[in-house]
Amino acid sequence: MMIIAQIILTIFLPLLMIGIIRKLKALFQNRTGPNLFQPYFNLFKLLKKNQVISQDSSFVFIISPIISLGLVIFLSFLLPWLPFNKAVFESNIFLVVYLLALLRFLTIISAIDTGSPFSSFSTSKEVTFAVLLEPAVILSFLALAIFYKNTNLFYIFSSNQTVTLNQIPVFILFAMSLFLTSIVEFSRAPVDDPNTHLELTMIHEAMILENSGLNLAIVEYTYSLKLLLFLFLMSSALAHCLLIWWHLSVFAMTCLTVFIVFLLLILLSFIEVFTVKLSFNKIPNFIAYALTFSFLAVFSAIVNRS
Amino acid sequence: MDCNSFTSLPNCLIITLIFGILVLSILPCITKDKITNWVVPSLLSIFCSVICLASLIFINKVWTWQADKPFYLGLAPLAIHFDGLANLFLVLLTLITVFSSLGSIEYLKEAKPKLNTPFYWSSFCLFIASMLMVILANNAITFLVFWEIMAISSSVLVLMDYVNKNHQKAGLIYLCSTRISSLFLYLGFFGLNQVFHSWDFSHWQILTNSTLIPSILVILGFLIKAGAFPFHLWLPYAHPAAIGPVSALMSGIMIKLSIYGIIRLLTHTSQLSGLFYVYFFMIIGVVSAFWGILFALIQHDVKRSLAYSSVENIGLILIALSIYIYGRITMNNYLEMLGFIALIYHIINHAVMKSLLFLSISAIDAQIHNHDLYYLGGLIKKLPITGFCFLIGGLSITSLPPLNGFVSKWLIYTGLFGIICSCNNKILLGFTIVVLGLLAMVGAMAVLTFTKVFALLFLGRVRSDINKNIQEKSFSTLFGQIFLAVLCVALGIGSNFVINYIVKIFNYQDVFEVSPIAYLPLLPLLILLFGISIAFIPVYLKFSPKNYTHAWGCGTDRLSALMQVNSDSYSHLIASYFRPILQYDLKVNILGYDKRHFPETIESETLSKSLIENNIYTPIIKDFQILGSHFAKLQAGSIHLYLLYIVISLVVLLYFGVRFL
Repeated sequence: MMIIAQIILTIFLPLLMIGIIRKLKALFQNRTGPNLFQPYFNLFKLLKKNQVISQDSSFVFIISPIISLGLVIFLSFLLPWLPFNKAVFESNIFLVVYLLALLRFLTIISAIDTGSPFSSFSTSKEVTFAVLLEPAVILSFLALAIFYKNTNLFYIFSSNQTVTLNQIPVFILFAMSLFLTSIVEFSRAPVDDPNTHLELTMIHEAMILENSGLNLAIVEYTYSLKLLLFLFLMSSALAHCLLIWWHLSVFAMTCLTVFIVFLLLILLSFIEVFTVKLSFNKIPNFIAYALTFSFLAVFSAIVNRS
Repeated sequence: MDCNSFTSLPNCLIITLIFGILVLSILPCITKDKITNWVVPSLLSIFCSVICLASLIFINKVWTWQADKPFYLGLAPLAIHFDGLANLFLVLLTLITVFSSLGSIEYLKEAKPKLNTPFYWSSFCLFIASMLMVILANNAITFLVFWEIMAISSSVLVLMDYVNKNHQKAGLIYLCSTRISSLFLYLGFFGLNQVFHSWDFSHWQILTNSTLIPSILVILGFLIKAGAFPFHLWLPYAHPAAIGPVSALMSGIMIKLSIYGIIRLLTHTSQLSGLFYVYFFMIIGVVSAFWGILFALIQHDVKRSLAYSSVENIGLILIALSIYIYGRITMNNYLEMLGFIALIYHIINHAVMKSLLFLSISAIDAQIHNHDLYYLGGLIKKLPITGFCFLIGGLSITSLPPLNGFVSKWLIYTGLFGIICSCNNKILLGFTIVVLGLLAMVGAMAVLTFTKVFALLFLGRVRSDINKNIQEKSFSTLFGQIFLAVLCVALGIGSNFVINYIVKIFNYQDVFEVSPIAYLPLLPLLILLFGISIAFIPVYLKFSPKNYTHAWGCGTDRLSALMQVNSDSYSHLIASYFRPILQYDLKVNILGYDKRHFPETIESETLSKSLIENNIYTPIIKDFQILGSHFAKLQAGSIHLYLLYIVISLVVLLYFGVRFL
């Protein structure tokens, strides 16, 4: 029953979330904005379209989007992003981080495979920021692991843990670090503006410049599913803090998590509307904030650990 | 030799075969070139596969043998010792030897300039035999004798193309570093002998208070040979000069024999104390890993990049070693076991994946005599199997799941996490967290390095026309690559089995029962990925692309292949962030009559120097040269001066003779 609910959410929520972000952005800018379900219509349109691919590309370009999708689906079973999803596999923070790295590897090689100068140059930017970002990702997860002396994420997020005041800073700092990390990871503003459509300035969009039709549909869906997982993980961490005051049922927790995700989406679109794209050499400074929060999370975990 | 009893039969067989390999090294001197090039490698492969099988089957067998009186090596007898550790290394070494020797055949046939085939094969056999004996040596003298033979024969293999100026420099640097390494080992072993009055490894204890200085000398000697951080200089010179299969052996096995030496001495040591050694190995390890991968990512020569990546992996191995030592010092059995498994597992993995990468490169190098990323590209269409094997190797060395590299990296992470959880020492705690963060960065940089190497070699468009006629040629080179690629996958998904096996060999069963190592879901991952790709085939066929066109070029015609990202532009951004370490500089030179509006030629050049080489080694070498030039004045070539020396020395000798006798 639970797993069916999870699968339904995995299939239907991701694109809706992209729709919500676009709608919210439009509302902030006093526009009507596209329909909430526009991303679904786009997906179906892409599936109908014929693929045009680069003549220099090889099987890597064709196979890597679908493998990336498989990886993200696997991740959705490894991450405790919903209060009710059960551990299908042994979940481990280092495994999660390295699966994300594998995802990046595949994206990069498929972008270079097209032989397009634009997509291959943006891979250079993507991977450089990934290098700077990686310690922040691993340390923020590590903070949780240190606090519970366990690397299993399902153990950390299980609701029958005794909840104390000590864990609030750890979870909040984890969520903050993850939020800053995901802005870079998903190339959202202020790090990258996906709507400029300038090949030389974009990072993520330029990498998938040569994808079209079915290929592009898979890539877009993978992207939104990954965003969904990250946002839900943050919101479960935040919702976990509230367990001190209220002991909620699973259903109530789910509603709370979804509500917090909605708040995070508002925050995300708010940032996208009210900030401008950072100068390119300022992005490392932005990443430094994420790293600082992750160090603070580790520090508070060590101080507060039992 | 005591071969009478049935139990020692496999060991006697192995020793006989090693002797056979030694004899094989003489064979090329008497046979013809063409015959040598297939007789020697096939015999060598057969011998090695038999040794491999024998040591794999009898891996737990402990057996010691000492030569009788006439077969003394000066101070101590020739002594041999088989145990789990030695057998494991025998298996690894012989496995890689089989593939390297098969891979060499094609290379030697096509080599340009022509290499001296008989000479190559005799040094190759000598190299293998000496490495086998280094693994089996049970006392310091036996160890040093074969260590020296190994060093010399590998230098010969590095210097095969001795006419080339760059190769001469590489050979010299490699030879010098082996000399310095041996010097430290001699001094350290002599010191240990003074303390324990024995040359037997089993009587020695290192890192105790009474043996501090000799043990540090020994460890320094080993680290120089292993290519750990401040001593890594020889790797990036020797590997591009040596041919691919030799690099596979040197990087895959030879540098790990030093780690083997350290483990050997450590396992005999009953008591370890002091956190100092944990810090020592952890600092050297993490700096090696970081430094190695940082330099690997800016190289445009694939083999140089792989050489630096070996430095990184030695760093990871040393971090695993420090976890093991921490476990021993704090009597934490779980961490001791975890560190040891991580250490052994990473040694196995690195041997497999690095030799896979070097063999793939040598398959390309054999045909187009080039391993520079500036000129290559798009090879996967011509070499699909090599490309796929290289991709597996690249994914594996980047330690991505579900391949083998990930398992050992995961064990190292788990070990560091174990230190963080169990440690009360605030300094060590903070230090370990920083190490863990840096390891994450190293991992991401490895993604950068190997996406670059793989993608620029095999994907995109061909950058020059040198690889027009390249194709998958001989089965002998492909066989090794395919086998090693399969091994990479098998060691990844069969991680639990391998861990259990290592636990069984080294008798950690009791500890393992108490705290089992978490199960990694790598097999489900592989099945899922494989299944989804298979399920994708009908979908793909339905939506299959009908239009092939050139990549987007801003509305112009097809852009030039040189406009694709190249080695320097791919790593420029990250290199510019680490400018002080890499001594990195980009020079752009625009020429032309009106160069602002109508540039005629635009040249750009990236410069990077080795910080350690320029700021530490070169001044030391210069000082020695200045010192040498002063001493050279003594030998002025004047007969009068020499007569004066004779007179002075006679007078001095007479004086001492009269005074003291």
